[in-house]
Amino acid sequence: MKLRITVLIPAVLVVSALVGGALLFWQTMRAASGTIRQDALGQVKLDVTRLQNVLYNRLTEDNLQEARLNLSVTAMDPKIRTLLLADENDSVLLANRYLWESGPAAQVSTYDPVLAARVRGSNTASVAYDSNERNVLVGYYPVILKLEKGRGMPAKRIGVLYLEASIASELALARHEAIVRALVFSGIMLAASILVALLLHFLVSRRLARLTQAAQTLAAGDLQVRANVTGSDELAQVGAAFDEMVARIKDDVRRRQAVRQELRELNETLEQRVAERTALLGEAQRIGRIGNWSWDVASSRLLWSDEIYRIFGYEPGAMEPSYERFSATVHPDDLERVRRSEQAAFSQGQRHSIDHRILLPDGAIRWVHEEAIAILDKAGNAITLSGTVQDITDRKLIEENLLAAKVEAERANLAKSEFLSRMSHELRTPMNAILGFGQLLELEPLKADQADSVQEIMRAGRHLLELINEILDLASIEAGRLAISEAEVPLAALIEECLTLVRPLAVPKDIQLSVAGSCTGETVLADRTRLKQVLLNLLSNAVKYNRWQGAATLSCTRRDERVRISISDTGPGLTPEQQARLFTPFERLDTDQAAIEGTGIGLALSKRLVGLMHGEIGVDSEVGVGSTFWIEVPLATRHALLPAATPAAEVYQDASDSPERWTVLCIEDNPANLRLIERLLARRGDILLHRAGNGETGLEMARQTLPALILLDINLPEMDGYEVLRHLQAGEETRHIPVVAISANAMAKDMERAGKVGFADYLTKPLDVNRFMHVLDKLLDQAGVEMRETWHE
Amino acid sequence: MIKVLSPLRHAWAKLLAVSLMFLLAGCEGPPLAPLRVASSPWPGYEPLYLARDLGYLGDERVNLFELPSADITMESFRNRSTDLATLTLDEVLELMHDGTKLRILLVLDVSNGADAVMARPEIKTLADLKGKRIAMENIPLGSYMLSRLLEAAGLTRADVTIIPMSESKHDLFYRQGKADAVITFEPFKTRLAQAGAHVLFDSSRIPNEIFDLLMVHEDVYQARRDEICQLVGQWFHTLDYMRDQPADAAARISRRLRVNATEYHEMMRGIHLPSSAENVKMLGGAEPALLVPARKLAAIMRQEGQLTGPVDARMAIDPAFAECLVR
Repeated sequence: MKLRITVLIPAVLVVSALVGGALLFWQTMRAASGTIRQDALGQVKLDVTRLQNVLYNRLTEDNLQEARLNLSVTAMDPKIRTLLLADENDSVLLANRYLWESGPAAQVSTYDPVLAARVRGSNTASVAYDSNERNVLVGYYPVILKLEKGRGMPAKRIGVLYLEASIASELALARHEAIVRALVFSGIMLAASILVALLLHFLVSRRLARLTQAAQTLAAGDLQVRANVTGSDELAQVGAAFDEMVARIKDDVRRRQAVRQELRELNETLEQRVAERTALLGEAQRIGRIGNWSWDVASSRLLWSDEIYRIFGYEPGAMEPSYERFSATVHPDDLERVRRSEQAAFSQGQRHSIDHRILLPDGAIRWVHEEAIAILDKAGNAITLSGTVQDITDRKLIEENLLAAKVEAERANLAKSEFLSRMSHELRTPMNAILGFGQLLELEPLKADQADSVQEIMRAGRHLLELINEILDLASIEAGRLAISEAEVPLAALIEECLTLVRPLAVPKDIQLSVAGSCTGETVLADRTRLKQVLLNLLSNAVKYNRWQGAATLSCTRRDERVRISISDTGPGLTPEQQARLFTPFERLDTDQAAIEGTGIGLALSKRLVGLMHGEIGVDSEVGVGSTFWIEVPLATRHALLPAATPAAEVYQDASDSPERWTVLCIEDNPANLRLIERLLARRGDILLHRAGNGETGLEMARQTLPALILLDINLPEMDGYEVLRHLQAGEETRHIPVVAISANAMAKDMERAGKVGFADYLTKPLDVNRFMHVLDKLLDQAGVEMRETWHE
Repeated sequence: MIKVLSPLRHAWAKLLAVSLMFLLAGCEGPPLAPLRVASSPWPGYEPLYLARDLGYLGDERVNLFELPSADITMESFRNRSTDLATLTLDEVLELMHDGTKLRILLVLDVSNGADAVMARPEIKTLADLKGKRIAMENIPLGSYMLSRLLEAAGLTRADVTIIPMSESKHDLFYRQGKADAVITFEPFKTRLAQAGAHVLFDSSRIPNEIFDLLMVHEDVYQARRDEICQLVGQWFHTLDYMRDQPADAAARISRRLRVNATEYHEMMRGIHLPSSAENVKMLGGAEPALLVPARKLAAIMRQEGQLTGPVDARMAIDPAFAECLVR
């Protein structure tokens, strides 16, 4: 049983009451007992002593009747049980019971004759409580008898007054009083206990129970509960505090519920949003054929989005994703590549980005593009690897088609270039012969009409060569193979050069050629050769499409960072329609001007060339007044490139008249070309020419004669020029012999290649005599120096 | 709260029970001292002693004081030295007249010769009493007997010399020759007879006039009615014993009264011990029969000047007590 305050306190009070009552009883009894013993003894003793005296008087008067009376009255004390007067023989004279009179005293109660005799002997009363019955007082009082009868001797007779008094009833009364007192005390105490218990019950327990119940109700979740403890004491304060606490909890709970509600709504919204987003994402993945995955390194758990399953040819969620499953899906030929990429991403944190094939369960092969990144921890170890897989089969197909188309186009383009290249070669070779021999003829003393014919041949030949070159240039530009080497070009010299070249054309039509404005002093950034080509084209057009005795004026104007070079004529002018078609290849505006030589590609080529030099070309024209063609090219700035090379167009001077000093080997299969070279070399007089028709023969002769210079045709049958050169370079004795390539391949590419493999120079057919002679002089001079050095050694 | 206390209910109940027991013990009142009954020698009272002798009364409940004479008895009752007393009707009336509140419980006996005037042999007739010394107990009964004697003798008070004394001394006085006649009663009557006196006049000549009653103080009656009722019951019980065991009863009573068997029977002839039924008749009902002689006695006593005012014996009779008289 738990100790409760409400029980404990009353219980203590009850026990106190009982113990106190018992103590009170005991104490009262003790005191009363002592008092009674003393008082009762004292009173009885007094009474009996008085009786003793009275009896003495009565008996001496022989008044037994009075003595009896006195004894009877004395015996009326309720305490006295026995009161008798015995004579000297212990025979009862008087007694409170008449029946005992005249009988032996010894038969009465505890009368002791021995004690009586002793009392008589000592004449001293003996009064004491009985040893057996503690509450009984026993007394023996000596009484002098003098009996009326007077028989016998007159000697003093001594009797005994015997007394038995009980204080039992007094003690009982005292005990009762003690009990009553103890009970009253205990009763009051008990009443007080009950009062305290009730007070505790009503003031404490009941309210505590209320609080407890309220707390339990609260614990059960009822927030409406209130302790409602009345009063103004401590418990009431506790109750009030409890109520306040409940109120606060209620508030708190309400607030929390509100928050929870809000959260729930938010959650619902969120879920809806997530669902929408997920749907969108899924849709996006499905449409884009792109799925994503995530691989947790620690748990090796791999997650696939639904689209990945579809891409891999499975139903979404058909099986548990795993790396093994993925590996099995990857096309076996691509597996190693994929692994390597993954490894790199995994260990170096690189991006895993790869296209590879996959093998679908139905055997189909598809292309996917994978993008993945690894998330690394601080130590650089991968935590997660996540990425996307996109089905790019369709794109791949298109790409493949595109690639095929491109390859085809490139092949076709190459074929065209080769065709052009071959054609130009094929055209140049005969042109070489025509122009070469024409030049030789001009050197001969001819009749006037013959000279005219030769001149006509030469003019037509040159035109044809120009035509061929322009076509070749255009083809090169369209193939993107025309190289522009920009440098600082001073305009003055260039313009003078061009005018010099064009002036002869203007003479027949009596056209006034002039330069206006300040073209001198301007330096532009351009490819000198190409800029000259453009200016020549425009100037020759201004002459060609001019009227009789017209004028062609060249002028320069600076426009910002550019210089505009304008060439005006006094020709018929151009309509806007004509202007629009002007720079299109092979467009000739006027069929009626068929007499005028023209390729129809001059302006188109010019436009492209100017474009390559970051310039512009345009025309301002008025029908009937004339046209002004202009180009704009960038001014050379201070940080411009290297100064342009010195113009190389020097007229070859036949200065060498030394005797035959040099051996030159010419390896050429075309007899016309060979003859031309023979004739050109013959003009020097100091050269011994050896001829070889093919590579093998050429090599043999080179080893035997060890010439100072070898002229080698590239387009040889069987063993071409490059191979011959390799053999020459392989030979110890032939290695140092300079070799000059002669080819109809005028493409820059060819020249570049030739330079690389070790040709001393590269000459294109038809041979420019001046350039040929110049190269020959240069190389032979070098050889001569070397030779002299050798001799000196 | 009830729920909380329930495990303790048993303990509380126990505690309550114990407390109640003590409380009842306290409420019983103090242990009563034995009922004190004062009595003097008279055959009519002897059944009391017999009852004590037989153990009917119980020492703890009744304390019987054996006083030597009726005047002492009356005096002890008056001064409340005793609770109950055996008294004659005239004494009762006098006590009532003096203002003592009391109750008549029982008619112990009706004197029918036990009260007598004993005279020296030479006094033969009532008339001889003239000029003689008459010893008598100084109690109303003595006066009553004297008045009846003088009435019968045709004498007045002046004709005789009255020597009042306690009846216990009558015998001695007579023997010493200090009295010529003695108004006395048993057992002194027998003793006087033994001393040579003879009966000159006795109560048999005035039947139903001398009643011996058991009295109790009013307050004691109210407080200890049950004990008293029980005591009265024991009286009749003893009467039954005397009827059923006359020899043993006679032997016991004789020894106490110091008479022989003959004397005992003679003595007993002089009194009548009313049965319970007779007692009911005399003390119960709407009109107790005792009231008649009581009124008559009261009238005489007034004439004698023993009572100065009217005394109604009815005040001392509780008819309801008759239930204790029924056997």
